Amino acid sequence: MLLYLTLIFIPFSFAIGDTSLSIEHPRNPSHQKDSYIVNCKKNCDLKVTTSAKRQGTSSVVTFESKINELIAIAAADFPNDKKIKAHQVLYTIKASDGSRNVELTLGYPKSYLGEDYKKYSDLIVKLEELKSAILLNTTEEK
Amino acid sequence: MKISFLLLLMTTFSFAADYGSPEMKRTIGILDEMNNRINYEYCDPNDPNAPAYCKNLYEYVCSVKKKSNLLGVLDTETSRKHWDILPDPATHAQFNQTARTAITLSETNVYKVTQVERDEIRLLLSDAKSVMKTFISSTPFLPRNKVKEMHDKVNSVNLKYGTEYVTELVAHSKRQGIKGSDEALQKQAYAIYMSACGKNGLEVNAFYESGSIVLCPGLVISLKDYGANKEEIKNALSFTFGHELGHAIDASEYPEAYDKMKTCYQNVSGSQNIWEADSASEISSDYWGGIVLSHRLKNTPPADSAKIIAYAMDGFCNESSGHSGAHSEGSFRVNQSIGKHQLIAEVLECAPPSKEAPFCSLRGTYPAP
Repeated sequence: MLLYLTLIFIPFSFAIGDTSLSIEHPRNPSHQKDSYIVNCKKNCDLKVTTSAKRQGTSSVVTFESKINELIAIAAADFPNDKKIKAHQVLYTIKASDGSRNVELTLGYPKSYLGEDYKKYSDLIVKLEELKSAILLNTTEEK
Repeated sequence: MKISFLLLLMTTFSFAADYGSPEMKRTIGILDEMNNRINYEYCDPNDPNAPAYCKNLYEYVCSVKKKSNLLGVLDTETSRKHWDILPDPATHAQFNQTARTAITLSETNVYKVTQVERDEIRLLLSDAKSVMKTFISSTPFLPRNKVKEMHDKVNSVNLKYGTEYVTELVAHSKRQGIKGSDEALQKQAYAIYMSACGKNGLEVNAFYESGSIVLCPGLVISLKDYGANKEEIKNALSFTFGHELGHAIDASEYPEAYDKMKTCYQNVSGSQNIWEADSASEISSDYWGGIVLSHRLKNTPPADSAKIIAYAMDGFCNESSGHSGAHSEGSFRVNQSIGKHQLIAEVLECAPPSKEAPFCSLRGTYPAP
């Protein structure tokens, strides 16, 4: 019974209004992956894994609007149907505002042409702002 | 067996290129020099006294640790001096000025600390291209109708430093009809560069894109953190260049060229998935990285060569360098793609490929089963 209730409760607790973001960035030639993770409930838990590990928390206000802006750009017909070769993957992104979920794979820039390049550039600027905010609100683990 | 392989290479040289050109004379020289360890006495991997790198290259590579954190210190200092004083919000012009200063200063500091000159790095790429072009032109194991195309593709690759790449991206934006002030377009271009190389250019990364290789200066200084001297840094970078050049002609670009290599890897790993698109691209590029690196190390003592291979494999031991979708694992790439590479085995004076532990190359399984 306890297990049954737990199984019902756990997905429910994630379902409403939780904002989250995961940015994965592979480096070459090793394919070592950096990651930036944000999980917001009452506060936002932040986790960064690069050559060092960083952690922190921040208010929901700092990240919710930025992640929503990212989702808005991504949801607006972003060319996500491109087949991007592994060595040309710049970012793999998963973002959610609790109701909308987006998953994106971004390549290096020159494969994006015309209006797609504009959307790509806007998205990259937004991602860099988010990464800076995450780094600013985390400290390195000793 | 190696003699016969090289003879085969040499005899097929005639179809591929003009013998008389100065470049071919030079590259034929390189090929001859490759053939300098035919009679080396290799160690028995079952001998308890065999060097660790002959027993398990991956374990050896992962045992070589960094001795300093010059990269981290430079990154922190550059951020403190430049990014931490950027007004919030900043204008495009302020952002661009900060990005330009931080990236340029990082590059200057990296090349000062490592004593590697920018021109030497360009020469390193040029040497890597020469070695690869020689192999492409001389190997009988590439489809004949693709040889010239692959050769020319490698030949046309150039190196871009930070500001050059940003300038190129601004021009690309304009060609795409993107409207905006120069400052706005430049900010986007810096953001793209920073996504790959970090805001100070100090990420340990390099990439190949549309005929250009961008080498983030962080990758260069990270080699200094192993205690590597100038020559060792250049030698380790040769793998990066070989690998990134390899992407210009990898299995995703010319699948038919790697058919035999594919079958070999599928047999060796016992998995058809080993040659899924993404891992095939990495493994086939490692093949070229191994060729270029082994050429650089041909006169280096085996123990020193092993150390340089460990530097070149920076990041392969990290937990996150493993599978994500179809990426090949770090251990497989180090032990099989590099460790079983015939030319790498030679420079390490480890046991040559055998039927039990074959080398997967353009010619397929070597030695043949």
